[in-house]
Amino acid sequence: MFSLLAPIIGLLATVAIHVAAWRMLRPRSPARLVPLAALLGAAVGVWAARARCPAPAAADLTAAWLLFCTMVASYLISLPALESESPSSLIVTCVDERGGDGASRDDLAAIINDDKFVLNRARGLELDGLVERADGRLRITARGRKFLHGFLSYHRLVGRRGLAG
Amino acid sequence: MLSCGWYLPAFPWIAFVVNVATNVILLRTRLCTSIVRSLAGSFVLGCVAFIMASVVCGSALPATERAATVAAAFLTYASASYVFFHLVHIPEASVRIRILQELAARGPLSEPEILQFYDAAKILDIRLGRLTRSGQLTYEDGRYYTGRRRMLYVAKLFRLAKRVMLGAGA
Repeated sequence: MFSLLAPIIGLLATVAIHVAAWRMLRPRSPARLVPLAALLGAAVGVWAARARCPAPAAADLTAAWLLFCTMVASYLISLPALESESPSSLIVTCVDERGGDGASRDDLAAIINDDKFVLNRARGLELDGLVERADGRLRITARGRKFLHGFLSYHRLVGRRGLAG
Repeated sequence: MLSCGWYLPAFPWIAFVVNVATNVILLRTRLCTSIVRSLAGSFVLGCVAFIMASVVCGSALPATERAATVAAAFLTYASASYVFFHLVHIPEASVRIRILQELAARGPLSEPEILQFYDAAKILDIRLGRLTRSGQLTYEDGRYYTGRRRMLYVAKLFRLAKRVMLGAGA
C-alpha cells in the first residue's frame, strides 16, 4: 500500500505547493519551481503514508520513488500546455463554439496571429536562453542546439526528418 | 534470488521497454506513419506485456497487497508512457521547435525574416490539414465543423486545469 499511497499523496502535495508558489510569485518560468515543490511534496507523501504503513520494505520504497518521479515528470511535461494554449486546441475549441454554423478559414485566421503564436514563442526561447538577440536578429545558442538535438534524436532514430509545427 | 516484492519496480519498466521498442519498429518499418497512432499501438502492446508480467509474477505477491501493488506498477507504466508520448510528439507539433529548426538551418534571422518562413497563416494551414486528416475536424462547403471529439476534450481538459490552477483571469 505504501508504494501507491506515498506517491499519490506526494504528487497532490507537489501540485498544491507548485500552484500556490506559481500564483504568489508569478515566475517567468514556472517549471523551475517544480523540483523544490517535488522535494517538499515527497516529504509530505512519505510522512502521510508512514502513518498507515510504518515500515515499508526497500522494494516498496523503490517502487514508490519510481512512481512519484514518473508522475512528477508527467506534470512537468504538461506545464507548457497549461502556460500557453496550442494553436490546434484553439482551433478545435473555436470551431466547436460556433456549433452548427462551423467556422471558415478566415474566422480561424482571426484568432491565430503572428504575435501570439510565432513572435511570442520566439521571445520565450530568448528568455529561456535557447536563442539570443544580436543586432536585431535571433541566433540559436549552443544550449538551444543541444535542446533541439535532444528533442530530434528520437525522430532521427525512427527515420523521420520533417519540420516541426 | 530477489524477493517477490522486487517484481513491483520491474513490472512497469518491462512494459515500457516493450512500448518503446514497438514504437521504434512501427515507425522505422513504416507499418505506421502517424506518430499518434504508432504511440497508441505501442502503448497497447506495452499493456499486454504488463498484463502478462502481472499474471506470471503477481501470484507471488501477498494477496492483501496484490491490488495496490499492481495499481502502483500500472500507474508507473502509464506515467512513463505519457512522458514518452510527449517527448515523441513535441518535435512533430511544437512551434518553438520549428523556430529553433529554422534558426539552426538558416542562421540568425530578424523577426520579419522568421515570419517569411513560418507565420500564423502557415501554422493555421498545417494544423487544419492535420486536424481534418485525423478526423478531428470535417470540411464542407468552405467551412470547418467538429468531427471526432478527442482533441476537443483534451483542449477543454487543459483549459479547465488552467482555470482551476491559475484562476479565472489566467
